[in-house]
Order: sequence, then structure tokens, then C-alpha cells
Amino acid sequence: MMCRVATVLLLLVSAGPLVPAYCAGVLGDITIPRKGTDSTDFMPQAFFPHWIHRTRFKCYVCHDALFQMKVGADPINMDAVREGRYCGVCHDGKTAFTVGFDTCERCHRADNSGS
Amino acid sequence: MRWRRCINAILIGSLFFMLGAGTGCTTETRHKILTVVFEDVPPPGQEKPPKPFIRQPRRPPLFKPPPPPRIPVKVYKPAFNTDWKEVLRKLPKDAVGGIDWVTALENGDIKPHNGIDPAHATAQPVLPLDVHLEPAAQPLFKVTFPHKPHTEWLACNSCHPRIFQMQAGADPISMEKIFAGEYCGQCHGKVAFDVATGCPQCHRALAGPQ
Repeated sequence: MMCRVATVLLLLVSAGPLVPAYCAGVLGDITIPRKGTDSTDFMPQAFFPHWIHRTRFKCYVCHDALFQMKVGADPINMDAVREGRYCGVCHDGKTAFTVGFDTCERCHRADNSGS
Repeated sequence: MRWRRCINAILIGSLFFMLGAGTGCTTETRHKILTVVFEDVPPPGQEKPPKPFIRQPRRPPLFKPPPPPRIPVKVYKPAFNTDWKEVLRKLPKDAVGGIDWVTALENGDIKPHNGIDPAHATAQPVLPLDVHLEPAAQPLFKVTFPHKPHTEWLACNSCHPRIFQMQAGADPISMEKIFAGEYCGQCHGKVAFDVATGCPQCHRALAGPQ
């Protein structure tokens, strides 16, 4: 009996760090789905915090000129972003942080807690 | 045999000298022994540290090498607050803890740009039109759709005619379809306030008498 209680307590304690990560999720956060396989699949999927972008731009700035409203409807890839399409329209180092090897994990991150 | 005796004498002499100089009884004795052979042996207590030997260049360099070229490094510094946890904390919240975007815009907590280049962008027109939709014989569930907060964020072609026809009541909107992600559910519950907890925001009679 004591062993069972201890196991439950241990599970709760170990699950503790997961709870804030779930609670910190904001409505509209998107993890961009990945289609097909690629040599860079070891990177975490791109995370898009919708709310951060809403504090800076109105909806119609991006929709539907740059992005369709439906998640996964656009064939976004890093080549297109580096060429200045999709995210690269703003993420060029002038309007927002540039896309480079020092900023990979700002989008490609596994931990999405806290924006 | 004489040369061997000479060598022996020299060896024994040098052995005594080394013993005296290396392991002499006192420093004064060692000084005395050393001065027999060597000059400039400092007396005990007056030893100076050896001067460092610095090799000077044979000639001055022919030309001064130019300084390395300074490549200007452009560092992106955002002019807005990027402490997003603090930004999120300061944004107004609705009853269930979601961000109340309409209030945030009204209060001026956020000033979202009208275009990527805000200097050359004009705001989309805001339409102050309320559309009333009432299900048959269910006045409690009458819906008031305010165009104003929607057009502050969205353009006309964001919804018309892809999601909604321009004629009021032309679409068979139902809560079932909204929960399935059609009509209002295309945004509400995904990026705008949640459908399951935001009932009185559309069905205003459910909020009770104001």
C-alpha cells in the first residue's frame, strides 16, 4: 500500500514540470505540421505563437496575402523562408529577427511553454 | 704515469671545490671559496635577480600594418518589448483566462500595425454594423454579430464570401457546425475566444439582464 502511494506521489512530482507547459499554452498557438521526411527531421517542428504576432500586426496583414487561414495549407519550407516568402517576409532582420543558424531554436523548439 | 696523477689531483681538487661551493658550511665560506676562482660573485645578502634579456629588433619595421577592416555587424534590436511573459501577463483576460483581444485593442494595450510597413499602410475600414440572427422561436439564443470588433482585426475578404455569404441568414449556421470548425468555428476556438466558454458573447441574452 505504501509502495503504491509512494509511486503515485513520485509520478505526480515527476509530472510537475509538465503542468506549467500545458497551462502556458495560449489559444491559437500552432505547431506547424510536417509533411514527408527530410534530412533535417531531427529538428523539432516549427512553433508559431499566434498571440505574439497579434500584438504586433492585425489579422489581415498576413491573411490571406501571405498565409492561408488553414493550418498546413501552405507549403512552407526553409528554402522559401530564406528566399523571403512566408515567414521570411518579416523575419528578415528588419521587421523581425532574421532566419539564421543563431535563431533556429526560436521557432524550432520542443518546449513551447512561456510563448 | 705523471699525467694520471695530475688528472687525479685535478679531479680531487675540483671535487673538494664543488663540495665547498655547493654544500659549503655557511654562505660566507661559500663566498670565500667562490671568489677564489670567479669574479663578481656578490657577497651574501646582496644577490641581484638576473636581468631579463630582451632582444631588440635589428631595424624598425618598414611600414605599419594597416588595421584590420571593420565589418559593420547589423544587430537586430527590436524597438518593442520582447519579454513575452510580461506582455502576456499584462494583456487583459476574459472570464476563462484567454486573452481578450477586443478589450486589449480598445484600451490601447496593443497597437497592431495595419501592414508590414506601417508607414505605407492604411487601415481597413471598420464597419459598425450589428447583424441579428434569431433561431426560430428561440429568442433566448438570438445572436448579435458585431461587425465592428471583427473589422478592426480582419478585412472583408477574410470572411466574405469564403466562409459567410453577404446576405444575413443565408447560411445554415448551427452550433453543431461551429463546434465542427465551420462558420464561426473557423476562428473561434482556434485563435479567437473559445466557443465552449464564450456563449454570452454572442448569445447576449444568456448573460442575463445587464
